[in-house]
Amino acid sequence: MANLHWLANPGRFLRIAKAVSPVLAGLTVVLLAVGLALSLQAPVDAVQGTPSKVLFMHVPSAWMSMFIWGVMAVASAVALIWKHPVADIAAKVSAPLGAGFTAATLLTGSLWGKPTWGTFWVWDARLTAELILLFLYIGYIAIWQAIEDPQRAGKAAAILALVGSVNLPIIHFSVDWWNTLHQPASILRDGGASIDASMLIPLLLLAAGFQAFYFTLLLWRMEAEIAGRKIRQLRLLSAQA
Amino acid sequence: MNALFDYLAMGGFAWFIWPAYAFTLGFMIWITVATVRSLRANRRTLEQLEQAAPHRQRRAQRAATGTAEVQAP
Amino acid sequence: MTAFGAIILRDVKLGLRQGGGTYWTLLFFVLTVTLFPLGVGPDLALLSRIGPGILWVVALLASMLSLDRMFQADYEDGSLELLALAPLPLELTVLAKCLAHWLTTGLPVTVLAPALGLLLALDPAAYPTLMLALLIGTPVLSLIGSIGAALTVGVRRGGVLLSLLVMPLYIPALIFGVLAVDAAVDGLSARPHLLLLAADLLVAAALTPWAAAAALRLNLE
Repeated sequence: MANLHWLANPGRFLRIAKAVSPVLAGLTVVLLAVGLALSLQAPVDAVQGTPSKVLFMHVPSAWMSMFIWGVMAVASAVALIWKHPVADIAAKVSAPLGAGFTAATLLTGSLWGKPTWGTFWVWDARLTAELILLFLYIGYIAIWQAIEDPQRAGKAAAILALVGSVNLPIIHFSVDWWNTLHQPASILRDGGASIDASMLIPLLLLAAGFQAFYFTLLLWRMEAEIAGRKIRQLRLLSAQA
Repeated sequence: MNALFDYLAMGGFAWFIWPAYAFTLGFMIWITVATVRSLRANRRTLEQLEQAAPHRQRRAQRAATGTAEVQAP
Repeated sequence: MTAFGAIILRDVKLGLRQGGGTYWTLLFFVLTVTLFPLGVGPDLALLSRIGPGILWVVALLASMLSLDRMFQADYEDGSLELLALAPLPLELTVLAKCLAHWLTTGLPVTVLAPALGLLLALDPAAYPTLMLALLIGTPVLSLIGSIGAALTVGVRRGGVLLSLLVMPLYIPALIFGVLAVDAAVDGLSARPHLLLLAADLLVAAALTPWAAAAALRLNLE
């Protein structure tokens, strides 16, 4: 926790962010460019056919959708327990990114489902859980918008993020339970480790690229948010004067 | 040229593959542009405000991040 | 413990008196359930198949409808601040309010459910399970709802936000509850579903008072 406290000073955080973000941005561009190029010329998966290319966008988005909620939950806990102002901002600016990746997961999932399963939407356990995750993201963003005072909004949103994280495993389990009872034959059969290296390498590169993208945007958005709050305060002070 | 069209047709799955790429990457580009725009605008505004009232800078920074009381007595 | 009982008694009285929410909640429950046969057609076979789901979804909505009452009135007249300062821990106050909310919404809905099951041609053999599932499941709705109610207490037009926050968290209770009744209709054992529903209740009872009390404290600052 020592280094977390060290970062709690927004001025110090900004200096580090400004030094790190160009490196991260460069890494993002390289990883995404190579990953995209390899994904587009990857050979077609023998079992799943050409639509498997959709998975190059779907799988990294799905990983990000869950990873970002995890980051928000940890940041919220830090913000609530140690009253860490930078953590609060990190959680807030992450939410639109998480919601966007969740939407991308759902959309690419149904684009993959149409040629593979013959329908755009099935009430598959994973798809359903992902849809609920999108609702949680929307609720989190809504509570930030509903409460004007950033201090209060931050605490309320942090409570919601933590409640959501306790609930997510329960929701996942209940949806699995519901799905196996309603659909005797599961449609989704993953090959597991049988994925070909020519597919796996671009997939992993893209996943790493999405990660780097998220952290780059996180730093930029945090800087923008910190600056925005300073502007708000300066305007309030000059209005009082 | 035909090879290119064949590639773009994705074996008849073009209508599923290209929208998937377009939506995901489109979202990433859109949010990047929005973020960079607000970052630049905020940086500029902040600079102007700080130049206008340099002595308030530290107080605002503390107040903005909740490490000290917001209200002046 | 007397303070705990006093809060329950007070809230139940407020809920039951004329203009209190209980009657509106029940009326909403009955009216919404009768809309379904009008919407999907009078086919009794279809209605009996989707009946458990209809009853659960409408019970969930009815419980949600009255959630904004839980803290809002006390917040507006200032008694919530007194409750927060009282020697009784705020967590227990929240628990008492959840119990009162359940007594004035969940319990009446549970009692009324078989009558509406009749309208939906639900197999009478499933009534005991239906009532048991509602008896275990509706307190979960009140408990989880208290978090949403506490988070939105000072918020203008908080009602819609409240539903948005609470609905995803209701899904496990809904799933286990409907599966239990479905199993009973099909002549299978509802035991595993009811046990899972009870587990959900225990988790909710153990954790939600903390979250709701924290949310109330922040809104009272």
